[in-house]
Amino acid sequence: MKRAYFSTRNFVVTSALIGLTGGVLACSVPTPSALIEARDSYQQAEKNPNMAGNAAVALRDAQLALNRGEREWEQNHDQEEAEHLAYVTKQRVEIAQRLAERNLAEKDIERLSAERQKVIIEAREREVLQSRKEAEARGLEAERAQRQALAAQSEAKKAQDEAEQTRKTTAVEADAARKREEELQKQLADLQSKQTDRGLVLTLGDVLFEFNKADLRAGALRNLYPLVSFLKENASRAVTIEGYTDNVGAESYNLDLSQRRAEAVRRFLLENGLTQDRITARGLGEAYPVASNSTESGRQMNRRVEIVIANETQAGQSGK
Amino acid sequence: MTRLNFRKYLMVPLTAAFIGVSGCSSVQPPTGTVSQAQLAIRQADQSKASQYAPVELSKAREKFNDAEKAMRNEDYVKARRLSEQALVDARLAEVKAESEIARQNAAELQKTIQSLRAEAERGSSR
Repeated sequence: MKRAYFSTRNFVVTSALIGLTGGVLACSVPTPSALIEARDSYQQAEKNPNMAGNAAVALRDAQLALNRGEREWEQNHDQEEAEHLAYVTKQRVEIAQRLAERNLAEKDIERLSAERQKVIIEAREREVLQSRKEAEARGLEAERAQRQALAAQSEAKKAQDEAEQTRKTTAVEADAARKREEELQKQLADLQSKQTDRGLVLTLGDVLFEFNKADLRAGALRNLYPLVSFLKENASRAVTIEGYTDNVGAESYNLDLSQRRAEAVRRFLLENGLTQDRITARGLGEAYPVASNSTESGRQMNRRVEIVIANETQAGQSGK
Repeated sequence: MTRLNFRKYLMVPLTAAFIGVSGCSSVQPPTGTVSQAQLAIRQADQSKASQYAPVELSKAREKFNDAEKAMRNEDYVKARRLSEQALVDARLAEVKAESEIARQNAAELQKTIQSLRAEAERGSSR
């Protein structure tokens, strides 16, 4: 009985067991999914265009692990080993991907560093240009200010020169006026001219007239021609002719005589081309004696005709 | 007597099958792999992996510790596998950190260039 227990059943069990073992060794079990995934991720990584240098080396390590895994599976159907190597493969693939990533970033860093340098240099150059432009502008400003100053200076000088010129002209004119006065005085020296505040006063003495008459003697004419030319030259000057007498005789007679004598002089001037609205003539008779009437010489002095030539600035003034 | 002989003859193929299933042949202790793994972990540390890839690094450390334990238990297959995995985990942590740092530096440079350019714009419009 005991022999039978072991022989049949155990034989079946044993052979089944061997069969199973043999079955395990046969390739009828599907490849572990981990290995398939590992191959997938490897093939994906192969497509990465940035797998160069150390990344490519790392990818080759992944390939080695993958091949080992697939070989282990094919030869030994060692699931655990295959799954282990699948894991190693996946990790090595990711290492390769990360290395590729790092290489790219480092290339970027190189490029960006160069760009940063460029931007810094450009900024500095621009600063230099800017400060140069500003210096130039300041220089131009300075130049302009200088030019303006010079212009102002020349303006001032011009004004100064003009003032000088005006002063000279005025001086010259004043000079000329003075000279004219002197000339007149010289010209009229014989006629006893005197500068008063009424103007230039010429006195025609009694000797220039016929006795008790209002006719001018030839001698008077000689003295009156210079007066004529003077008055013609100085057309703006008004002339007032005033006749006077001594106190001998009737007052009315003397008034009339003095008037007639003044008019005689006036007539003479008009006859010689002077305009009449310039010349006024009147007789004042015994009034305003210049000397004492008690002596003959005094009386002779009082018998006179005064010709007043107004000053240049005076309009025709009559009367004292 | 026949019983015993039958069992003995049974044991041999069984044992062989068992060995075949487990894939166990005479395994050398993987001391080389273990020290490689240790080196890789130290390297990862220096490249700041603890900051940028902490998960991968701690995974590597764990597997390494388990590998050393397996070595002590003379489970050399397990020790080899664990140290091989610790090695790639550490290496991945290291490379991940380096890549991240490089990308951040590149981004930083990009920002610097942009702000320099913006400054220059402002400057020139003065």
